[in-house]
Amino acid sequence: MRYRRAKAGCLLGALLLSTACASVGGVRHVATVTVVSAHNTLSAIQDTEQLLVCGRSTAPAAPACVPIPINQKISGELSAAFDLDGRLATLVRDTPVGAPQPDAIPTLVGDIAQIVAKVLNDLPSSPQKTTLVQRLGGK
Amino acid sequence: MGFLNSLPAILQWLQLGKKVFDAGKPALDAVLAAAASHGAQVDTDELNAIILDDAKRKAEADAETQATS
Repeated sequence: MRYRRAKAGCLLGALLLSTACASVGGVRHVATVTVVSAHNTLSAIQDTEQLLVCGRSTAPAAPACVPIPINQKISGELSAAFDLDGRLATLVRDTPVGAPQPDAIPTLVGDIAQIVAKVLNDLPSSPQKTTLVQRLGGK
Repeated sequence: MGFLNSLPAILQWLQLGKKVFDAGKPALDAVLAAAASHGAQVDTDELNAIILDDAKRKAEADAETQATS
């Protein structure tokens, strides 16, 4: 929420100070936006998956619900993804303003994207999954 | 002819404009530096919040793996 306010302020500032926003943060700022996107994606997946586990009051009937073994598998994958996201966020936070992009950033982002694809593939088809994928910008 | 007569006045205005710009430049630089510093701090705050939430969500995922096994 605070981030959106800051971005709105930055846009307002751009109107007043032309090049101010372009120079704010640079590579570090772009990387921060990437981290925020990755985190929001993983969080949305985790929150949705938790609602779909078979036997829970929020879950749809089989075969649309997530069976327990698949829930375990997805939870393990999400655990690894949140670990990678935390490392990515720490790396970006520790990158000084104006410094070149650390080489590890694209690798970490790529690893997270692979896990996201795997988890979405593991989720059984359901209206909730369709909504989730649309929310994430997929088809 | 009319233009040539007014040229010195135009040059004077340009010089005055440059003086005003030069006088204001340190203030503009200070505003830009403050904006850059503020933006970097906002990013750092956001990243710190994400690092904490990542750890919390990882723990939840780990617990989920064990609770259902």
